Amino acid sequence: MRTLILALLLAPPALAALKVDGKPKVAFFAVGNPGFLDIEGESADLACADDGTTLTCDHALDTLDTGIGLRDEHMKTKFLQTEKHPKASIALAKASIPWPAEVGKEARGSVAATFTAHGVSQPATVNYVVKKSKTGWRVTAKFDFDISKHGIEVPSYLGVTVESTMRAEVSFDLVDAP
Amino acid sequence: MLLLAGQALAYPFMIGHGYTACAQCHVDPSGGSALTEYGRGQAEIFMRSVYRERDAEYEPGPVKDFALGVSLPEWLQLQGDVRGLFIPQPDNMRFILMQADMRGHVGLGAFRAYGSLGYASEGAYGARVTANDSGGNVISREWWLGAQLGKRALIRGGRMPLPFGIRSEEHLLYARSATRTDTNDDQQVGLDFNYGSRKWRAELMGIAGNFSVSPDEFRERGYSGFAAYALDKQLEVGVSSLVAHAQSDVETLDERLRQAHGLFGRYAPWEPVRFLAEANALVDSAGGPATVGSVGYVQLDVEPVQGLHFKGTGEWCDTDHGDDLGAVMRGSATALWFFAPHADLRLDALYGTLFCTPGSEPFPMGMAQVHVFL
Repeated sequence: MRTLILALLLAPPALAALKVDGKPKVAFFAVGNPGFLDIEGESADLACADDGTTLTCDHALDTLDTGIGLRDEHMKTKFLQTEKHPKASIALAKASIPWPAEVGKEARGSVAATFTAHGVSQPATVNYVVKKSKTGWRVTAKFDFDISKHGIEVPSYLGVTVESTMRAEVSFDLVDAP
Repeated sequence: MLLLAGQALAYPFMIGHGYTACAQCHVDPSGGSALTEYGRGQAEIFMRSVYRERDAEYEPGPVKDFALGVSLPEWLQLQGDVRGLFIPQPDNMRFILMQADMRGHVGLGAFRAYGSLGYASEGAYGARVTANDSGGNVISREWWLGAQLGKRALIRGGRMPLPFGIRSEEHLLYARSATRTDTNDDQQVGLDFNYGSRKWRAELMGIAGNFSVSPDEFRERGYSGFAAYALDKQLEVGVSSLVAHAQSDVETLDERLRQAHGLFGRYAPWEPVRFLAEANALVDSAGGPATVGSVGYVQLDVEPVQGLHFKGTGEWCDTDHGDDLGAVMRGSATALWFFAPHADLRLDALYGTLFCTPGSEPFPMGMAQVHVFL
């Protein structure tokens, strides 16, 4: 019986429902050529939910800001078509991440996930670092994706063509949902 | 004022628009050269004054193109620049044709070629092709052949501006003239490697000399380079280093080893407000023991409405901290107005010395420039 109680107490905390706490950071990176044009879109919008087995994080694409209004307009209306496809999401098996239980400990690795953008889902490999904090977990993660595989037109503007492979990076705090 | 001729486009205040790098808008990845098609578009979108409200889907249209409407093939960039300088004097208004350059760039696959040819009514001796000592000359500020190495690196050979500090259209800055790194006529021939990424930009050039100067003993050999890191889209810091040796220096006529090593930074805490700063140590051995000096500036650029800039600049320069002459200082106030497509007007009021000449008395100066490019 003591062993059972001990086992329950030490059960993986990931089994609890999780939600985003504080101000997350979401960034998408793209490169245009010729000229090494680096494009970075940032946002603080991220909502995560889990159903006990799958952790799904949604990002409202309309909140992305590249720092240039005209570029944002092109990105959202012509390429991402955010009116029709307002969100991008990443989903992964919650149990595939070894959520550390001791404050200060971290786990890192890569995990298979599904990235959905422009209404099209594609497999993605997410590299992550999860660090246990006093209140939950600090998560940083990144993955590459190819917009052409999501049916998004490859942007080309004034002689600069954006590479179809882009990178997403997120950092946020996860806590147990009430 | 003989060295006032000619400048190149290079606007480091573009960091206020989130552009820490120069490569997307200029064919020279470190800036200060002909504009790319993208750069021409940004000049219309961001740089010039707008007199009626633009909708969110505004596109610059053909007015951005060469000669205000000539669409060139993707592999070709052409640009013509004319810049005139007016200097009020007690009895007259002096005019100098600073720049009348035609520039061309060809990019075919990985191969790239660039060159400029023009005319200056005075000065620009370091870039002259003809040898008229008493008047105007045909000049060629830049020419190079290059190969793109992947997407981020470019190797070039030819005549180029020395990579050092903040490249700027303001070639009169002490930091440019004292280090001989301006975009007017301080270009030298050499082999150059340029790298750019999301956070980093760097350039290193092996200097083989300025071949507009002869005989060979006047030509410098050495290196010049910088590396800059963007901590944010609105904040960049960098380091520069230059070492150049000439058997006979063009100014002192002595054997000279000159060095400059320094730091620079650009910061835009708010889109219309930009700070530029640069500080360099100068180490100089010219016909005697080495001297140590310094040169630098701080500049505030405010753009209250698009296209209209007000700048305040404070500069110092001391070629030898060990002598009794002290530093020369200069303060300037500038209004710069990109008032129409491909056109800008600049007014400067300065108080100080024109060049880094410690011991000289400061005096007030005023000048106006009109610049048009096609």
